[in-house]
Amino acid sequence: MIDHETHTYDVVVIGAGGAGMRAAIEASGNGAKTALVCKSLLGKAHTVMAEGGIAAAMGNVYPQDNWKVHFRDTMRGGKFLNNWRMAQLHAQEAPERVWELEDWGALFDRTADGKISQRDFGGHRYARLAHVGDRSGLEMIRTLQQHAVGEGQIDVFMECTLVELLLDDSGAVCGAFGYWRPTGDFISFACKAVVMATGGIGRAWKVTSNSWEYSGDGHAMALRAGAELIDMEFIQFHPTGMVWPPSIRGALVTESVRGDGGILTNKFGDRFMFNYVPDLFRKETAETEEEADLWYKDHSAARRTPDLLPRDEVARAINAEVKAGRGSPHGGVYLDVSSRLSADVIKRRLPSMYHQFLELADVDITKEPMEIAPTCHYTMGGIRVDAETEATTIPGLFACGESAGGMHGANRLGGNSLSDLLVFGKRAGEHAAQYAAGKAGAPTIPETQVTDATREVLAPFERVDGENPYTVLNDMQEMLHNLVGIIRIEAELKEALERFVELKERAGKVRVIGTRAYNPGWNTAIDLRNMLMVAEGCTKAALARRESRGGHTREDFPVTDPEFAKINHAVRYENGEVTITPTPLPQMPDDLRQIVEENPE
Amino acid sequence: MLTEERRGQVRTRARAAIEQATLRKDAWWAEPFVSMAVLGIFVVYATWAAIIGTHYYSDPYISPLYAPCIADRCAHVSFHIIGSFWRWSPALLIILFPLGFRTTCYFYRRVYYRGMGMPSACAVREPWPRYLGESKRPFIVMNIHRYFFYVAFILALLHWSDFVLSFHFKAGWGIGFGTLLMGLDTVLLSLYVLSCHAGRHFLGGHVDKFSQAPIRYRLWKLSSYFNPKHGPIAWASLVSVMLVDIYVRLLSYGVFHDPHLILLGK
Amino acid sequence: MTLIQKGSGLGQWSAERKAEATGQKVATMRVWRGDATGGRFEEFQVPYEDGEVVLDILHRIQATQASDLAVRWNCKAGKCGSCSAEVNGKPRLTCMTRMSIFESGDPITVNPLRTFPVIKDLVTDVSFNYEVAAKIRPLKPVAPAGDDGHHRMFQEDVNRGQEFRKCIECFLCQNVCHVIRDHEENKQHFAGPRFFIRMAELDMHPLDTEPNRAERAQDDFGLGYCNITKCCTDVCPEHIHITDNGIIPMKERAMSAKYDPIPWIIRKIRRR
Repeated sequence: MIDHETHTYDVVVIGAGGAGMRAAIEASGNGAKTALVCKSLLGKAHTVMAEGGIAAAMGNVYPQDNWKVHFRDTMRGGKFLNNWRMAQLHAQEAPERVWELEDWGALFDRTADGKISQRDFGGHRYARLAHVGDRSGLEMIRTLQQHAVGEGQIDVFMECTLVELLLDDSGAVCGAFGYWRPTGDFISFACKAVVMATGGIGRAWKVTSNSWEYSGDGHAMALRAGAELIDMEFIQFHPTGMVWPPSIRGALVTESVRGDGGILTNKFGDRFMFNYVPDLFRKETAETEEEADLWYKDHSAARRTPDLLPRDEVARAINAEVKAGRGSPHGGVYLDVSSRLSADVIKRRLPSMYHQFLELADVDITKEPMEIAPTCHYTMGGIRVDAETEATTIPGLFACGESAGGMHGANRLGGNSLSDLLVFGKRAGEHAAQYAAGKAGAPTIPETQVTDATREVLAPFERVDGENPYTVLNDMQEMLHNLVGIIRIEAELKEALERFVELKERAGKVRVIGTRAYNPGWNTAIDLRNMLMVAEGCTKAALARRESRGGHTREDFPVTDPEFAKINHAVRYENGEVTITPTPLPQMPDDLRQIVEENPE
Repeated sequence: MLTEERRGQVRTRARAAIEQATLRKDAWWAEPFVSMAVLGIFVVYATWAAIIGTHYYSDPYISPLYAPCIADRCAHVSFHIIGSFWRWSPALLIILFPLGFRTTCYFYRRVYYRGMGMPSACAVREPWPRYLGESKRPFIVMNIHRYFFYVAFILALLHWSDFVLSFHFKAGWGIGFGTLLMGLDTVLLSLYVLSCHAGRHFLGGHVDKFSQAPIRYRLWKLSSYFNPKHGPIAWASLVSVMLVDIYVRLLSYGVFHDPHLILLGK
Repeated sequence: MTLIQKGSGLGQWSAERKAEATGQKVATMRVWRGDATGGRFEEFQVPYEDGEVVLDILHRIQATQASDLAVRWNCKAGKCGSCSAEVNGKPRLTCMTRMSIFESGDPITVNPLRTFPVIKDLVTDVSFNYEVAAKIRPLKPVAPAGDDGHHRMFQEDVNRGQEFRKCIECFLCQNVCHVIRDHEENKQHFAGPRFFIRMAELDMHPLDTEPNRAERAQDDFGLGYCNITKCCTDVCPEHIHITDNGIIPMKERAMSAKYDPIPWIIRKIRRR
């Protein structure tokens, strides 16, 4: 038996971003003994990177806004591939989740009449994002963190990486196993329910706004335990990431820049977005620059600017401009706010963008335009869950936030992520606690599973020769960037699948040096396995979806195919292989269909 | 919140064994050195100028070290408060207040604490074996700053009356070079008081809901506008006090005459 | 929306963009390596390009020379506050420290935060900060004032708190504060700058009803230890005016509550 400490809880939440913390708060509030386990320090999760705001139809700025409009925007943005019930619950419950944060200490920007201010964002019909300058994610994570800590009931395990779910004889979750990063010592949890809130898999791509944590751990653990992922072909490339200097390439430039008035131009100074308005949005998009500029001042007097189309549309347009030779010197396009807003307003509304560009790129955004290009940002797909309870297909396993799939369909609207974390984090925590309460007996650790898992994670230390794990990581990132990027084509996807064979073999042979104590090389070697498994699922799903839709664009199948609107691709892990199975998409009831299809005004 | 087990994980809790008091490569000692030098010059000069008790008035200018002059024996009495029994320098009656205000000022505290090596500069190890800061005697007395602010606020207003008098020459109303110096000094002293942290609290900083206290909010905003410059203003007003005193003194000794820029007559 | 101008001009942008030298340079990095039992500075020669930051160089060391070099990092854009360390003796976020600020050729030292126990290499045990955070009483809000059942706060009510909430918890201020940096024993009764601005935020919060926060800051959290030498403000990567806007106002509030009779008298008169 391997030496490892064991802890017993009702609910173990894996991941301490917005979703994980919200789930832990709710589970604990429902009486479950709750552990919150995270790879980094508490409060450092990727949620802090969210800049724009939390989408919620509170109607503080535009009283005509309500959940139905938000629901409609979400479904249209997701190209109708969303789980309709999730989109509905999300739109209905988001306002309550935002107001609740105020009671927990959040200080949002205010309207003149003292309500929470809301800002415009891509794909949202009305100004809807509750925000704090351009650091809304920080406000949210700190509020949740302080509330969770203030309640004092949740045990937090920081810098603790979980690598495997443990299952009992019936196939239900009974625990999780992992290691402490500071010491490398092993740890296991015996528990009745696990909530997966591990975020996405963006680190597998080369140009990304995601940190090292985004290695698809939750997806991979769930897959190995027998759960299903859906919609993994849909990876969101955020249209505006920094391009220069090289070291910062991919860092996020918030959509608020455009929401507050910034415009996209090519090297000739043309506002090219007017040339890329798709039919679905033509009726509600401005046709001239004058109309677009008027819309900023008065939403009812004009139609919205094409600069604020959903992210997939804008990312594709930028990609096309660069390919056509109309890009900027470093292979991007320009995003200009300097000619649109006064320096004071820019510094007040976009303070962290101002500092980020000034300090890292020597660009003063109040005087000159930013150079931007798309960057890998978000995983629309994820673990398949029940819309009401966030239960996965494995008993005792729940998932929420970015690691869960279905809510955003083929493309996520900006601002819908933070609200997703809150709405479904709460639901996951509540239902995990209920499930745990209804489960009799104390959970026990299946020691053989622990032994197998330890053998696997210790293997890199035993090899006498082998590559540095970072070499394999870099090759994988480069490969996915080149072959499974914004624009995909069958030949390249097939080539990618061949490369996976080679990369998996190399990843199985990497060697690490040093001890287990805080050893990033070793940690990366373990994460590599997860990234390769999930990215292979993304690639296979992308190959199977022979159409273009949302975050998935096929050069060889450039149009949307109604047949594909009826299916999700389920990714499974069976007999050591990642497989793809088309499964029917739940169809929404007629009253909701009417909301989605009716045209405004 | 952190479990006991977690704490056990880090088996020994020792800091990184680095011997150097600092690894800074820049001239971190320059700032405290220069600041203390300037402060030292002022203290020595002001002590001498305050004790000597003569040559602090040259019509119509009064040295700010002696204003307001409240003893009957003053060369130029502002208020008759102290009788003629007071034979010593009239500056000694008043100087405690501006001196106390500056000594307990949050900015000067930073300056001389750094001069005393508490610490000399950021990320430079301090030499003291024990440190209690302003939590205990003697430095807890710094909390008295607010009372000095109340007095300094009044003194700053009185400075304006001295400034007005500095237009009033024997030959009539006018403007001399000294008037300009007095004006500069008065403005700087007023800004120094206005930007004071205790003043900022007094004027509006104590309010939690600014939306329900619009006047105090405006006053607070005014103070807050100058507060970030409190340090530079503190230095500038220190120098201007010394300059005006030197100027008046030199006039009084007859070293040179005050150039009258404008004289309107009676 | 304010000040939207017509047209699609590119602002004052000119084609004369910063020169981008492509020639590669080599940095001499002296990185502290070790753990609680001891350690030393280890020297690495690392190629780098213009525009790179210290964290890039540390990552390059991991990828090519020492894969077990322990560095904490997440966002790499100055938003999460993970990658705090001391570069040439100054507390900094390594992801926001451009290589171009150093004289080329001079060795650059990187060592872990010196105020906290070291775990390994550049990673320290910052749990002290989380323990202090847990002792601060959370917001105790009033009942909502709006007729819709929600709170009303105005921008002028939240501006001060919002400045403090920019804090990314990099703990550079905690690290540089001499009260605990040079006097380990003070950690028992001193919360540190990060938490004084947290207390200030709550004390100034328009909805908070928790009494005596300022007194508690003084009595239980060691506000009096601060001698306002302002190093916390100097190192803050978010440029929060920790001392002027947070600590000093708290000292003044504590003063009002504990020593100053005038506010007490005013309260008495008002109650009549």
